[in-house]
Parts: sequence; structure tokens; C-alpha cells
Amino acid sequence: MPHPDRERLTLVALGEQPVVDALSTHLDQCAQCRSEVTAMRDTVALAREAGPAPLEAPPDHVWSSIAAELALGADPAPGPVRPIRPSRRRRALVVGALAAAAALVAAVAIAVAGPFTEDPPATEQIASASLSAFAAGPPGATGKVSVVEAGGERRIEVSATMPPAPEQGYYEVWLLDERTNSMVAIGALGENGHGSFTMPAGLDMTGYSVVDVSAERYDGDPAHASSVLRGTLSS
Amino acid sequence: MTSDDEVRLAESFVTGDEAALRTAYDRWGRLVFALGLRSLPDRVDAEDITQQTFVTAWRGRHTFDPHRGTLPAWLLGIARRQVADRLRVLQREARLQRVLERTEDPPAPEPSADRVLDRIVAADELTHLVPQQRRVIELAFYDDLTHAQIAAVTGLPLGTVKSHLRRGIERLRTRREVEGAASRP
Repeated sequence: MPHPDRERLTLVALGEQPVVDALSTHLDQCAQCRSEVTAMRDTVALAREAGPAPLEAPPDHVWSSIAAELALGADPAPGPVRPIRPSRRRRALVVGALAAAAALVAAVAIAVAGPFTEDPPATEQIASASLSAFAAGPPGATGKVSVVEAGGERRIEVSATMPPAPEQGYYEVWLLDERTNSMVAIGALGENGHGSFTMPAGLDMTGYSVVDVSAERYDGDPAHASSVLRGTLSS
Repeated sequence: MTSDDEVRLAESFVTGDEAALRTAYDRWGRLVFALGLRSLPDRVDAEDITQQTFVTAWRGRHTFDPHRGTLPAWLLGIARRQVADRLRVLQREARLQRVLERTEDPPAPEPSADRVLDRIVAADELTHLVPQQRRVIELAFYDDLTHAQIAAVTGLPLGTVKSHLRRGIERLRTRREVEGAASRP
């Protein structure tokens, strides 16, 4: 008998009995195929010992300790990739550019008008919402949202009162368009339950009028997980 | 992560790009942590060797030679030395403890460090299989189904099931050769 194909050897390695006598005979006689089966069997045994559970990620403070010990400059924030919004780096660049532009405008304003008219740019609230516990959300959880406009930029400010996120997770703010059921990720709430985010430019706020806060896990899955707070924006 | 991505990541790592350190940590930190968890008695020790492995790797990044192995294999090599050092300290303390308490036998030996490492690499590789292949492999490995039973359960053709099984096991084997204990000098 010629050497059996690898798929048949794989089945033998997995413990399935060779149904064809010729295969058993071949394995008895062919050291090469026998060692192939032995190697595969060992690989299978290893994976069986390892078990099907995915490996646990080290707790967050391990990275903080690494960053502190190495005195890393910029701390590239951890977190899953969210395809729908710009990358954190890109957002940092945008925010940085906005901050630089704002600083320049302020400097020019001071130079022109003198130091005594240094008023902060007028902030106008354009919408607000009250959040309450939703679906699996902790009972009694509440929150407030306000959308403000200052210096041509819209920001969404969220503050939630609820138990802190579990160790392996965090709370994410989303805007939901109920007509199409589409969602846009806005950003992660801080551990104190507060967050202030730049509204994605050009987002249609009449459609994306529902604010949703979800409990997410560091599982690499960018999709929306389970909602815990919700409320509708009104002006 | 494709091997091209991995090569680029290794290059950025060596040239001192801190974002590459973070990416390497996100990608392989759990392997290092798992090695610590399964080799050392205490969770805190596992956290500690994870920290020390990445700190040591970053400080010694100029010594990484891509021609001698992959970045994850190098990181796991550092982790193994960290684990071995920590175990020596713990054993010394345990011996001292036994002398003080006049107890009898030393504890039963744990599975070898090589075996522990190879298991972790296998567990990690399983999570990188495409979902359908992973499902087939898990049914064979952990539910002990035959290929015919798997075909019946999943509705996949027999040939597809057999090829998933063969390729899945081959991937586990290759990864073990690249990053497992045998890849170490």
C-alpha cells in the first residue's frame, strides 16, 4: 500500500480506529507514517490538556506598572479597535490640532484685545438627556447628558451614576439612530463615570438622538455589547 | 496578525517605537501571563513576571535578532527565564520552610516547564483558527466526536471536516515548532 494521505493519518492521530485493514497494516510496517501519527497525537494531546478556554489577559495594572517602570512617554491607551470611528491616534491628532488652533486663536485674541478680555468662548447647550437603567443595567443607575457647542465644536458630556465597570470591562457611550438601528461609538467613560467627547463632525443629530451606554469587555470584539443606560436627547 | 505584520511590528519594536511595545503586550501579554499562572503558585507572581518580561524585553530590544526567531518566541524565552528564576527563589524558601517545620516529602513535581509552555502556545493558536475550523477542532478535541459525527452536527461535508482537522493540527504543530519549548536553544 502507498502512504495513506495525511487526512487519514490525522483521523488515526485523533483516536479514530482505522476502518481499512490495509491502513492498519501499513502503519504497522511504515515507521515514517507511524512517527507522523505520533507527532500529531502529541499535538492533539497538548491541545486537549490546554483546554478550550481562551487565555486570560493580564489585569490592567500590569501595563500601568510596565509603563511606569519604563517611564513611557505617550501611553498608547488599550482598547478594542472600533472601525466606525477614527483611530485613537487619529482622534488624538485631531484633538491636538484643535487644541493648538484654539491656543493660537486665544493667543491672537489676547494680543489684539489685551489680557483683560480673556473670556472663555461662549458655551451653548444645544441638547440634553436624562439616562436611566436599560435592559441588563444595574437597577437605579442614572445619568445625564448634555451636548454643548463652543467655538464651532460640539461636545457631548456624559455623567453616569452606577457601579464601576467590572475589572475586565468598561462603559462605552454610543449614539443610536432608532430608525435604522445603527450606532456610532463615541468613547469610553472614565472610572468616575464621567466623559467629555468631541461629537463626530457632520453627525446627523436628529437621527442619532438616543444616547446609549453599554458594558463592554476587553475581548477584541468591536461590536456593541449590552446596554445598561439609555435616554433620548431633546433640545 | 499575518507574519508580515509580525515582521513590521518586530522592526518597530527594535527601533524603540513605544506603540509597538503596547501592541506586542496586547498580542502576547496573555501568553506570558498564562505561562506565569500555570507555572507559579501565586497570581501576583504571574503578574510580576509579565511586567518583568516586558520591561526586560524593552530594555534589551537591541539584542532581539529576527534571524534567530520570532518576536513572540523571544518574549516567551525571556518569560521562561523569569519563571525559572522565580521558581528557584520559591524552592529555596520552601526548602527553608520544610527545614523549619521538619515536614517530610517535597511536593509532587509539576508538569515540566516545556509542557506548560507548549500547552499555552496551543491554547493561543486555537483562538486564531477561523471560527468554522475552530468549531470542528473543538468538537474533535473536547467532545471526542468522530469526523462523521462532526459532519452530522455541523452540516459540513465530510471532506471539509477532514481538511479542517488536518490543517488545524498542522497549524498547531507549526506554531509549536516556532514558539514552543523545542524552539529554545
